[in-house]
Amino acid sequence: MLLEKIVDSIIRNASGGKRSIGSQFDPTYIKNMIHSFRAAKIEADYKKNGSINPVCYQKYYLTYFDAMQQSNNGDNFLLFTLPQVIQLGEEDGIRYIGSIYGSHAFDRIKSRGMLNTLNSNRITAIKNNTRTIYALFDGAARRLEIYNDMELTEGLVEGIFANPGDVPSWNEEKDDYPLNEDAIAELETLVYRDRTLIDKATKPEQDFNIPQITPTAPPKYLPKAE
Amino acid sequence: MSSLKDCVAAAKLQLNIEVTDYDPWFRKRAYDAMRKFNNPDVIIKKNMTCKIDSNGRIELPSDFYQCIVVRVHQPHHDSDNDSDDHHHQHNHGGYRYYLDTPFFQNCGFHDRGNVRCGSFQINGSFIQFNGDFKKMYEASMTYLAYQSDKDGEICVPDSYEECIMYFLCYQFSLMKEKPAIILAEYRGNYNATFNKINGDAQVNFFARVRPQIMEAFNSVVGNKNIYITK
Repeated sequence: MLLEKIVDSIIRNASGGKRSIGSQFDPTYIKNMIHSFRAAKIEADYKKNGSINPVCYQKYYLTYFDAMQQSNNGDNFLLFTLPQVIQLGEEDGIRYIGSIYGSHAFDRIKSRGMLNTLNSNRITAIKNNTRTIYALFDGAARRLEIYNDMELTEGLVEGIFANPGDVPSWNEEKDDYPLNEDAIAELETLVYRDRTLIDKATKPEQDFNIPQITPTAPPKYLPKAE
Repeated sequence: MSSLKDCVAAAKLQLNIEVTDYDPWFRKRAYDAMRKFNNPDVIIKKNMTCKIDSNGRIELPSDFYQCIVVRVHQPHHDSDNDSDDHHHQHNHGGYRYYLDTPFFQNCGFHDRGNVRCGSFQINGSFIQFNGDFKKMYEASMTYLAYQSDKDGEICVPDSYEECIMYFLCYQFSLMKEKPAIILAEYRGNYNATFNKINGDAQVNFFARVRPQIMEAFNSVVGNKNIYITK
């Protein structure tokens, strides 16, 4: 299903198809909400079932930019940009980093602390395993570091990205939204319920459908029982 | 022969791990498991040429098992430093040799011949030479190493693969705090395969040295020829 149809379905539930720009059912705002709830839904399913529907995956193709490389890194690794990914429990949303044909996966290094630990050991030191290509994803800088292959010009990352629109291979107007169909109905319900619940919680006086009961103030001093 | 990479792949299939997040950890643990066997069949001789740094150290390669000899090349014509002339008197055509004498004595070689040797210690992941290395010297080391395939992966016999796989599964389950029944299953399988491999190695060793044992035994007993069958 296209993203536009999901947005339209949610707005129709709330306002019968009337689109009001700037309100809480603003289409752009609803799109961002859908991305957030998609991440939460995939993570919940992964914790429950231990697996991910392959429809949720996206392919991000790495491209080499000479201007991005740092001159003071000792020529130890190459730098590539990578969008933000979601977190799945102990693992992150990256499921594959490797060659562009998808047949050779690079070894993942989960953090810089792990990189330091690996380099501290003679067996696992990166410079001693020159035939193994390592990949480290720096989530703060949103970039990917590739070790032990200074001639790499292209690559493939397959994973679940926080904003599907950040991936160039996904066309919002033509491609289906990267979420399985059975989860889309639940996603629409979640977004709609979230919007309406927040509305009632923050502005209860504006909801005239619910009769408001104002409690009478109790007396300050109760009469003593004789 | 299969490689440690095959063992890691088998363990990942068993544990249903799709990502490569734990691959460096698996490779390290597979290396540890392989070292437990101490089988001389997987060890070969290798040569390596490297530079000695200013601290007099050589970094050991990852497949290092045992050093045999190190030959350090010292240039003859060195007018910058007069102290090098003192070392030239002990050179053999511009080379200085370093032998691992304790290892050779353990192997039964007590005579070093005419080779004059310096001394060194293996210090962690380095070889530390006890000499004056104010300049960068080139050294070539002959050492015993583990066999590796064309991709540089360390080889193990095929019979080891299942044992190392169970070891990796047990260690990973231990790290992930899996239920005790799964831990016990993996540990039992690992112990069974490990003992079987070690038992086979003992049988093979006995079969190899059986003629020598028979000869020595018969020389002691006298004219009675006794054949050892098992």
